[in-house]
Amino acid sequence: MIPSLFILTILLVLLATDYLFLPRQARRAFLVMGLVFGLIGLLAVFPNGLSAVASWVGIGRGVDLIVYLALIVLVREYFISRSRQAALESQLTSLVRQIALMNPDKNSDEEHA
Amino acid sequence: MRRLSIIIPFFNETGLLQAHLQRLERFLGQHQYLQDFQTTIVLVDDGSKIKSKPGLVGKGSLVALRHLINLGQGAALQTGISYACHELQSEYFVTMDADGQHRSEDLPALLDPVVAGRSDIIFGNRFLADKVSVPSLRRWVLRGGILFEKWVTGLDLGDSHNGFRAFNRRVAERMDIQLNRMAHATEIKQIVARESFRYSEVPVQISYSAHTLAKGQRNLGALIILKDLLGAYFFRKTSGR
Repeated sequence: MIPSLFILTILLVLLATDYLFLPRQARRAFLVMGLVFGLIGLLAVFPNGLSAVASWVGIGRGVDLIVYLALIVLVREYFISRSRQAALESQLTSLVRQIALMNPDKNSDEEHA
Repeated sequence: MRRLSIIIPFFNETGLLQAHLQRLERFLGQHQYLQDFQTTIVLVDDGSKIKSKPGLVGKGSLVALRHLINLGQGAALQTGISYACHELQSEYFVTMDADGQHRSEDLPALLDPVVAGRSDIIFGNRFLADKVSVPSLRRWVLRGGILFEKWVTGLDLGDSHNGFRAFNRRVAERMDIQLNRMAHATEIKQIVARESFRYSEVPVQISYSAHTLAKGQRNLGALIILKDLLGAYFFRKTSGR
């Protein structure tokens, strides 16, 4: 009980300070995040319900269920962000290229050339 | 007069580039073969942190383009090729490294098959030259690279990543390098294979200086190229959601 209380305290302090320093528009998204953490916290405190769900889908422990789900989400996020990064890099490249092409520095003798 | 562009991308290069430009300029002025060309040197500064303005001493034609941020050699090459193709309306194109490891003396041999219409693109091959001066570890890395490149691109070339090339306008118009960093050399071969261009290679000499080895691609660079190619295979040309 003590370790989970410790973790919960840290989480609450972090959440509270973040909330205070956030701009008003971002607070709604922040509340959603808090809700997700709250849900995870609840599951941590009452693991039996989760274990029931886990064994229903054929996974031994409730914690494993969470880990598997988290892994799926994280891997998916990783690949999506890699794709986005590639797209962003190619956009940035065309932008930098256009600027370069628009500003040629010709230190040449035109007649001779 | 036939229009020729010599495209030289560079990053944080000053002394060696300036020396290279001087040798190139002298050679262009002297060599009989190159008198038939209206030659422009296209320098592409790939966002160098060292501010320098390399230039010509004489009356040659030079254009300097500048990337605001560092994107990589592949990106800089493509910028230079686009400029030479669309702004200068060049008919012939040469790509060269900035550090002077490619010798101006090899230019006529590289250009001739393209100008004569026997090939669309010519690659420099350092192993065909009589006097091969490649350090031994480097040689083994390159040998592995050559096999890998043959497998990936299907092109039968004996030098995996040599940046000394000459090509015609047809090739330049179809050139769309997407791999910004070092893997572009492989990508260029893939483009050549895709478009069924006629290709060949001629012997060129590479002068490896201590500086070139230290600054140029390290042997580990081969791994980075591999990573970039794999990344491109999976993630290229995907637009964000």
